[in-house]
Amino acid sequence: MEIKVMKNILNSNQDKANEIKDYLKEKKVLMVNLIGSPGAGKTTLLEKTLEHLKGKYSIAIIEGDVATDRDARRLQKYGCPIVLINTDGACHLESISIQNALHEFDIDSVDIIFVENVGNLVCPAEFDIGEFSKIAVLSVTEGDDKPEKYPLLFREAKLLLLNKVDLMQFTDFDKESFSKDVQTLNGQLPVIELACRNNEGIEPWINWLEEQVTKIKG
Amino acid sequence: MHEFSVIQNILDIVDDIIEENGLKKVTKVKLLIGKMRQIVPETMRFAFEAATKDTPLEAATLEMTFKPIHMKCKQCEKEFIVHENCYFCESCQSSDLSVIHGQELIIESVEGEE
Repeated sequence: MEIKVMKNILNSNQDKANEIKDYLKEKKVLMVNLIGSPGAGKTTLLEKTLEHLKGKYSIAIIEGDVATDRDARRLQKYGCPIVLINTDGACHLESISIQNALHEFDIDSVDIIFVENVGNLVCPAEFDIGEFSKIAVLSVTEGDDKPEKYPLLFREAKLLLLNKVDLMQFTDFDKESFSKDVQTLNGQLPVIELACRNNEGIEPWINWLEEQVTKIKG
Repeated sequence: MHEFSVIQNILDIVDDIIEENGLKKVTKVKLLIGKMRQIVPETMRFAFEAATKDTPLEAATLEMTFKPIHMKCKQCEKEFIVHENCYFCESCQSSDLSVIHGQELIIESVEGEE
């Protein structure tokens, strides 16, 4: 016998993600989901961001890692509440673990939550975790062909941070070809060039974040 | 790699269907997958085989139909199919688009024996 089903496979993840979205909207909290390869500079970006926003906003962090607490330990010195999610091999975070992590925060006193997803350009783009926006973090050392090879992330992202631009002169990164590919994939995607190591381009990124906080706080 | 998560979600849904319909074994699971989903069929099959061993789905075939990416321009309302990751409206060149198809990840049907 054939049984008609027509059911979304990721329904259970999406339902939880929608609950999280409603919850954060009600609490007026900005949650962004940082997605990029291992070594793209996500943790360094967070370090620089926390230095800039310290004292201005109340920040909480959810660190997704396949194993170890190394990234979480790097961020401890900023004094923000951090929840570490070790996925034990899984290549992305799902909404259920985010929902559990949110219970650990005193949410009424939080303005911004940064989620550092597991280092991976493919899988995290597939799973809605209830974030306000996905942010793609790509470094020039990975090559200019990444948007074309991993299109979903660059379609889903609301902002693309191009990191390590201070190293561009030492690589074969073709900025023209990169910009053309990004335009072709998603002409609505703003790109901010950064070099986290020497604070280059941090200002536009901080401004972008502040604009989003203002939008959410109304 | 997210194929393993997807398969796990499929099995959770199929388990409920087995119970509701009193199935002894499942012979086929039909999926509808949008091309935006970056699903690799070989990885899906591998994950499906690994996860269904010693279950009522052990002998089931996994049938996957891939749906092209179908967009609609928010400016001129033209509908078109995306080729080679080119997300521009064919008629007015706008990049302000909405997705009509291509993001599906659906179990269409399950075939089994009572």
